[in-house]
Amino acid sequence: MSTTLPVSRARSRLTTIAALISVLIVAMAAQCRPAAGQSVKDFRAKSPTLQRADSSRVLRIGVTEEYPLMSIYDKNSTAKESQRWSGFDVAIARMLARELGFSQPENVQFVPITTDKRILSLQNGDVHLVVADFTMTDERRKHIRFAGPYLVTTPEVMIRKEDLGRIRNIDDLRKAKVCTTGASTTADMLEAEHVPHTKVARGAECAAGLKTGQFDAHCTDEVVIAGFLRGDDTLAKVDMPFTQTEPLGIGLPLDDPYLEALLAHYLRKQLALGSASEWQAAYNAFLTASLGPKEQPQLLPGYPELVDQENSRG
Amino acid sequence: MVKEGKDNEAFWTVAIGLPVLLSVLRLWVEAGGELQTTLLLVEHIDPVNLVAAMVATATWLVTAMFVAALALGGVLNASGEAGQGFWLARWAARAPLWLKAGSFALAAITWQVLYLPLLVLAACAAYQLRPRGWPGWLAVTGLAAAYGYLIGPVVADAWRLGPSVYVMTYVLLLVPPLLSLVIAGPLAPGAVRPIAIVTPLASAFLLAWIAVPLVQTPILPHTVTMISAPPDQSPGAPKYIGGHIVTSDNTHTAILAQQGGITYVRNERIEAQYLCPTDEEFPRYPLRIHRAGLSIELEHSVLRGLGRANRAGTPLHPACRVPAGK
Repeated sequence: MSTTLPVSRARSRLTTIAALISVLIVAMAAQCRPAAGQSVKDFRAKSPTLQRADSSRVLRIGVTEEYPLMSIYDKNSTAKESQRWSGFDVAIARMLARELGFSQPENVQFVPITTDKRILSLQNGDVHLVVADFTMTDERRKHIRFAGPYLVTTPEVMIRKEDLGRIRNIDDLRKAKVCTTGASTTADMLEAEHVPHTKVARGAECAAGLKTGQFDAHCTDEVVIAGFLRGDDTLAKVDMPFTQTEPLGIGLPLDDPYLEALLAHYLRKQLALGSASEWQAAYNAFLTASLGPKEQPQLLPGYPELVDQENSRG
Repeated sequence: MVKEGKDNEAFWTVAIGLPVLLSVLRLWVEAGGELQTTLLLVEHIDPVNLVAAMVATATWLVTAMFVAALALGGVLNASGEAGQGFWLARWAARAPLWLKAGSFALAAITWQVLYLPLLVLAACAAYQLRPRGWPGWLAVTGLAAAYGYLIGPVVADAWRLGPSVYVMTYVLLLVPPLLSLVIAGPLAPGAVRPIAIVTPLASAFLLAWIAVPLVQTPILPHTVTMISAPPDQSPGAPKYIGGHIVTSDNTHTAILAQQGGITYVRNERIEAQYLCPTDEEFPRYPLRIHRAGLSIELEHSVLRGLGRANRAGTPLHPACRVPAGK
């Protein structure tokens, strides 16, 4: 008896403590649910850009006019206005617009803009987004925001085929008449390499100038060059030892961190889908033939993680 | 005996009456507290649908009530005469086997996985289970190893998500199994009375607290209806109405709009309808048990997990993103 009594007393104490802790846990479980975190719905409602777009239910997206493979407008098409556009940039823009709730052709308006007007169009509210072969740079980040990259490219040089023996390296390029688009990262790179060049508003002007002899070389990113080279035997690409890579991002107004996070969220969702993503489908449809197979690039770090009802529905 | 009969009666009244009361309150809340809208809902919602919606969303609450009562009754019964005198102890002792087994079985499949360790704790209290002798401890060791294997990655994932998630995850997943080892047995004599009186009251308060969001859970499915511009206006971008479809006849569809009020839309203007999730479906614990061919989210019940294994979830339609009324 003298040994069993303390044992049973100890057990009853343990049971009592366990019972009290159990009640406490149940109370905590009812009270202390973690916060839902930053949600897609919240950010969607807070974004000033989307509020403006929602007032007319039209999302205006700036795209580069006549950039083969990236954004092409078919004047002869009888489809609804926004569906006359095609290309990789257009496909990415359309996917993002749909994710943001602009799912019908009438809900999206593609606005053709020249490369030198990309930042200005965002600043003065002409467009809500820019998906136009837009390289993410620190200098541009002072004026606008970027979500991405959604594609990483490298700069290349396009010349007439007959000049293949004449223009082979950067030294040769310095002696040639070089054309590029204004306010582009390629123009900055040419400055850094001390290559004299002429800036024009649209890449198509450089390509046309090459043919007429106005220019000897068109320097821009590999995707654009691949687009011009398709179906044109008179032009050729020269591999130059440019070390720079160009991460292309979605441009958006500086005052809208919410839209930036939302776009990053949807690009991340595409990454998670891997080979089944719409990104991959768009790449395969427009770029694989010219650039070879590629996977979607990882996003830059620092975009907030957003929770969505969809996360629990996968 | 008469008092005991009344106690039992009261318990059953609450067990059956609470869901019915909740159903009616839900209709009232759903209608935005407006009499005419409530009447319209009452007119068009089949009572069977109402009960079915209630069963689908509140079974866990009713089983929680029974499980809590059985667990407390089990501990009081083990506490000698001091505990056995309370009506909850007598009710638990006399509850038929089907009720005891049924409550735990239903709870096991309808509670969120996160709370199942609490159910194990409750079962140990209700049936006074504890390891006895070396075979018992051997079984406990085996179970603990299997449990550790199952939730090991979840514990690591929760740590990565920061204290807002891991504190409660650890409290709910790790503490109840430890308590299960010692919960069986008599309460300290001095604690019997306070626990027997305070715990049922606290539980009732907690159940009421939990039932409040349940009253706000919609009965009708949440949809977004895409409607075209009226025929006399130039065609433009379609409009979206988020809400619940109350009824539809040959000419009109009545939609209880998200921002309030009933909207009647001519059927020919309806272009499409999409099912959308509600805000309550935000995941709070974005964690998933992913082991041995098993894959289930911590916030899903076993039943929901089985359903999800059978058929993938509906992808969210972009129309669900459109703010109400745009």
